[in-house]
Amino acid sequence: MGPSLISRLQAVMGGDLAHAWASARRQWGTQLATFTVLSATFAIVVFASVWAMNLQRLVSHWGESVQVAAYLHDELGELDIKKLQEELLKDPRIQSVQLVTKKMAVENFRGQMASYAPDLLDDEQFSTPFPASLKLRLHDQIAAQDRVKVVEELAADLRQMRGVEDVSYGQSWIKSYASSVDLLVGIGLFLGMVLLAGSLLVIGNAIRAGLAARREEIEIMELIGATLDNLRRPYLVEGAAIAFAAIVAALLVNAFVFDGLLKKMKAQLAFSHIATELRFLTTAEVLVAVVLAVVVGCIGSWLAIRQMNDGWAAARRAGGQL
Amino acid sequence: MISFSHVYKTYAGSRGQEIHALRDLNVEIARGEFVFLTGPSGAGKTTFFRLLSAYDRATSGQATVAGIRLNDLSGNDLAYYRRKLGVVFQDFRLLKHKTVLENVTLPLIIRGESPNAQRERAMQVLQDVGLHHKANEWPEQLSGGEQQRVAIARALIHRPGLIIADEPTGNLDPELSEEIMDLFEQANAQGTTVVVATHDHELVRRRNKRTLRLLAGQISDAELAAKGGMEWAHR
Repeated sequence: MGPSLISRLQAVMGGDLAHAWASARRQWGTQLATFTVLSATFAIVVFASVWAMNLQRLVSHWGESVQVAAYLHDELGELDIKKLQEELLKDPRIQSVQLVTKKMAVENFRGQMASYAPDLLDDEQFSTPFPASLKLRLHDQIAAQDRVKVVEELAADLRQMRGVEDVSYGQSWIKSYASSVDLLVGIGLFLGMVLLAGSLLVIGNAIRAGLAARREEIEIMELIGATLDNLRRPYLVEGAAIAFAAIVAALLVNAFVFDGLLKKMKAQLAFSHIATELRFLTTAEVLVAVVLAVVVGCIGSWLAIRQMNDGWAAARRAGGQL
Repeated sequence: MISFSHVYKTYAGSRGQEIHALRDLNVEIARGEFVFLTGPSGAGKTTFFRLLSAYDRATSGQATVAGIRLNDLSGNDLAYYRRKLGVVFQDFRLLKHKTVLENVTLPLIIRGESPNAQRERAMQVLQDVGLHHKANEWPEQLSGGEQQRVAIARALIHRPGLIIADEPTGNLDPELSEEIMDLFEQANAQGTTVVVATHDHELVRRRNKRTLRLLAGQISDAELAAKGGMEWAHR
């Protein structure tokens, strides 16, 4: 009976991992440089990803408290307002609609300004400019990360409605903040892609150096019957192993740095509760990062070995004509 | 088993001229034979050896081994053909960063044999060549004769149907050369076809095996004439 599948797999993978380890030992200078550069690259990508995700999470969190106020025309009667309220309540984006009459608006204003400008409370002329408005609360089921966008769309729709003079959505600064975050995320993604492309080159160069150093070994393997897969697989495993080690190092460094920054923010920005919204990568995200890094390692290796021997390397080196 | 018919192998010289390493070579070797390939330097022994082991392709003509047309081999077929061979090089071609045991197990590793099977078979074949006690040593710690025996163990470990050895005793003293030849004869006694390229005439004479003599890329005419026009010589 032939060897079992598992024992064959053990033999193959064990051999490939042994190859990677032997390569690391024999070319430790090159491998260390590759590992260092790759770890640094991955660390930057992970750092950018962690903070981009946290910034987005903050925007989403702040978006939850956004309210929309639709200011109504003065000539709108009670019946019109009621109809408008009913119409708005049919909108799936809206959880509730609260009417703030002119009188309530003035009272609110007076209540808020009493301590700052007491003279205004007696000024009848000043009380008239406040229009009636409808305070709209977004539906609870709208995801936090979608709220800013939904608010913008809702505001645009409201402006088109008859009887609505103006619309404001409280913390309108969130819009520009969100744009800034989107821009940062975009730049981060671009830089991430550039760094990952660089990673491919770094890994590819390390593998190429390995190929050059082991040319004779590859030829001998070829001559005793190694297939192209036999020859290539150890280098793929080697690239994956370097990338795996580098991403583990990058994640550990980032976790350490994140923890330090979080402690500092908790101490210095306790009032803002920002720190409570921040978090490091989840287990699933860490796994995704590891898998992605390993894939990058494999691709980098593949780019280096794809034009590897075609079975006639020894013949070609000896001047053979094919 | 082995059939070369009107085989030419031509290389380009440094000035662009054609150099015929083999010209109109016709050879037949039956399964289970032990054949010496002799001839002076430059006669084409190594080229014949390279074509036979599919390390190079004939420029024209037909070379077949066990019905496999060597000129048509490519990709994995090429690798699988080479796996059927046991090849011994004059310069041993051992991997210096691998131990004796690791070198010997290489053919089994590329076949994906289990580590236990690899080790068991390797120790057995190292025992056959008398080097089981040096399994964990490095090639550079061995003498030339021992290194050649390791190379032979590597060539034998997968029980090939054909062993091809290019000047396997070229770097060895006469006593060691005889030991190496004994190993080949043992393999041949078990049914393996053996082709040994050598220019050690004394060794060939003592072994009394069929001998092909190459001269300028062809089977020597004088020898063919002596054997009644046959395409090979038999001593």
